[in-house]
Amino acid sequence: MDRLEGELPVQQFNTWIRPLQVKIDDSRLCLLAPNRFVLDWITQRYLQRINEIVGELDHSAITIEIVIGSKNAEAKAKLKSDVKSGASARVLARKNVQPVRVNEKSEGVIEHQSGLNKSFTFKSFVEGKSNQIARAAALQIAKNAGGAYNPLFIYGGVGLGKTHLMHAVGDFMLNQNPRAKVVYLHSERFVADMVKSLQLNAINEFKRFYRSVDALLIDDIQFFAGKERSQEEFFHTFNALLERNQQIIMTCDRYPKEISGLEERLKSRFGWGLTVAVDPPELETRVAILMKKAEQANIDLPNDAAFFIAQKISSNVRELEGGLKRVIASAHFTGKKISTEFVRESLKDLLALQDKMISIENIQRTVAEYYKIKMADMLSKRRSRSVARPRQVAMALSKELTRHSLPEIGDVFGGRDHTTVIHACRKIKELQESNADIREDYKNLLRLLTA
Amino acid sequence: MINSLFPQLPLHFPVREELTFDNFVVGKNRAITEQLFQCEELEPGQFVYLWGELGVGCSHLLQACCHQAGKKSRTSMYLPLDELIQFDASVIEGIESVDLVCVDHIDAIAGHHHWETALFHLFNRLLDSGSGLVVAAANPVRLLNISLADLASRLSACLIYQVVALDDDDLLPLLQQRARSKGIELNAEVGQFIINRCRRSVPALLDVLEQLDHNALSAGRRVTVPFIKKVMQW
Repeated sequence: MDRLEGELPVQQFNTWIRPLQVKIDDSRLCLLAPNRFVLDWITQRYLQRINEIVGELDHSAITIEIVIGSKNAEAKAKLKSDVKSGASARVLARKNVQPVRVNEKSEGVIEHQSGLNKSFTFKSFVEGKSNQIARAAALQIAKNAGGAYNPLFIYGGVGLGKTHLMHAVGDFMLNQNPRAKVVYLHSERFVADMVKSLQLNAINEFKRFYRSVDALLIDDIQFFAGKERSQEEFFHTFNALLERNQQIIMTCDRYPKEISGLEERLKSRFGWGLTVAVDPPELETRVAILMKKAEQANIDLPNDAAFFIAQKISSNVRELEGGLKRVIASAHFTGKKISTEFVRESLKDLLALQDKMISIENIQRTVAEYYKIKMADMLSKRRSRSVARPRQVAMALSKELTRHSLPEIGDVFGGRDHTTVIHACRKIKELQESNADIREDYKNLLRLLTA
Repeated sequence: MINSLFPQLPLHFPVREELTFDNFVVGKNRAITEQLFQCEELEPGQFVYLWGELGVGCSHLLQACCHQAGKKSRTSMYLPLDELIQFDASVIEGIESVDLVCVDHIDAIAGHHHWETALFHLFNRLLDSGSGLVVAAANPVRLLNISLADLASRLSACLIYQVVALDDDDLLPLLQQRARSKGIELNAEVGQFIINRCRRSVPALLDVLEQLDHNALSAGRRVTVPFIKKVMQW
């Protein structure tokens, strides 16, 4: 690897060689590639050189082969000897995540984990007007799984807590009965597992596995659209579960009837149980969510700071969380207490507050208005202090807020030389240290231009 | 005399430049480098999103993360989407088995439904597998023009940082460092001479450096202020 690293351009090495894992058995060196594409790429471009390097380093007859796979999957997917259930390898390949509550062996060859995130519980769910019906329905179902409300269909926009509610039901069920077989998965994984099972001629194990669960929680069902074979399989799984009063919970970004590319019979079945909507949280709920998250992170978040974040980020809870994460990271880095001003500063990156296009002309106009001079004075040859000082401030701001070269900046200020710009910047820097008025002016102007 | 009649033709041997945290000129991005330096130890699902204008160093940081992961015997994969978009999205299938995935130029796939969906699924699989993810773009998430709302919302949940451009004080060490890697010794006076006249962005400076390097090799001259004035016509 080191030899190859020294020979290849950095980017090529980082893209194609670093993802490879190496496994050595006796006289066989096995390179594990994450997928077919990488495998082909390595085989065509680098395998010969890898062979040469290994030959130079070790003269014994070592065989090099490259296959698709990973050590993590191999270690954790304890599949039976015929490895028919390669479909479940991904389910088992969790490296660092600890949220899994159940890890028991099902009948047949497939082992499973619940896939539940233990932090998504009813307790950690913040209730508001926008989600109270959905929460009440989910809690009802958790207490009486497989009962009257089957399936539960939760729909709404992205990042509003649909997945959280779904996990909360699973968590509740497991708390009631730790041996309950609850499986959460994203619809894409259902599709991928099915495809793999078909490839490995293991579709019966696939069916047996998904039909044996006490509760099947499938996220983002809209991704079944256009996948007819998967819909067919899901249709049968759905019927089998419903017949035996096993609970099904689905989430989707829209109402069942509105999912295009989905078979009519599925759409109609999705509406058989209870269909509930989750709406974007209103301001007070957003504040409550932030306070709860801050409490969980053991962070002191003042009310006005939470209001500031909630006012700035109104679209969804995920973005809200992203904002809070950023504030917390900044607080850890700087060691400062969180205040509204601190939050404003921390969220600049996220909210792109500085993203407004700043042109030199805009700077000239803003500075001229601030000092109540004419725009023409910025460009004139006049040297009186009342004009020259604002001009110097504008030059310094242009240097700070744009990437124009100094000759370009000088040019826009009435065809001045770049040395004049250097002088202006130096002067303003000195004055900021010695003169409180200039320091205040400069700070105000920076805020005006970037806020 | 001979030199002026028969200028030496410089052979183009691209210099292999390491992209590590050690040679990243940090400037005002200390919080980011500290965060990324330990990106392996982030909580599972604590993904990072960097954005910044061209040349501020996002790609450098991502590749430094890969280098750092390698030092700790972890696997990683750098995905420059502006280049990989020409291929099928199957290039990212199964890569949740890699310990750290670094996705660069995510802007390039905005509006490409197939790629957006593939990345969304990758995002979910990375969450499942507990692998790390660092994404970089030229724009903040809100301005990415990603059509798939599910992907955009997941990106917005990342730890988001803007990588800011170096100010003039930091441009000089960067210029000197890059010059040194090309075998050019640039003293502060010469370096500042370039910075005072060039567009003050890293790509513009490196472009000037490339021209100076080429011309200096060809003419067999040292890079001095008179030489720069002549080559750049400043």
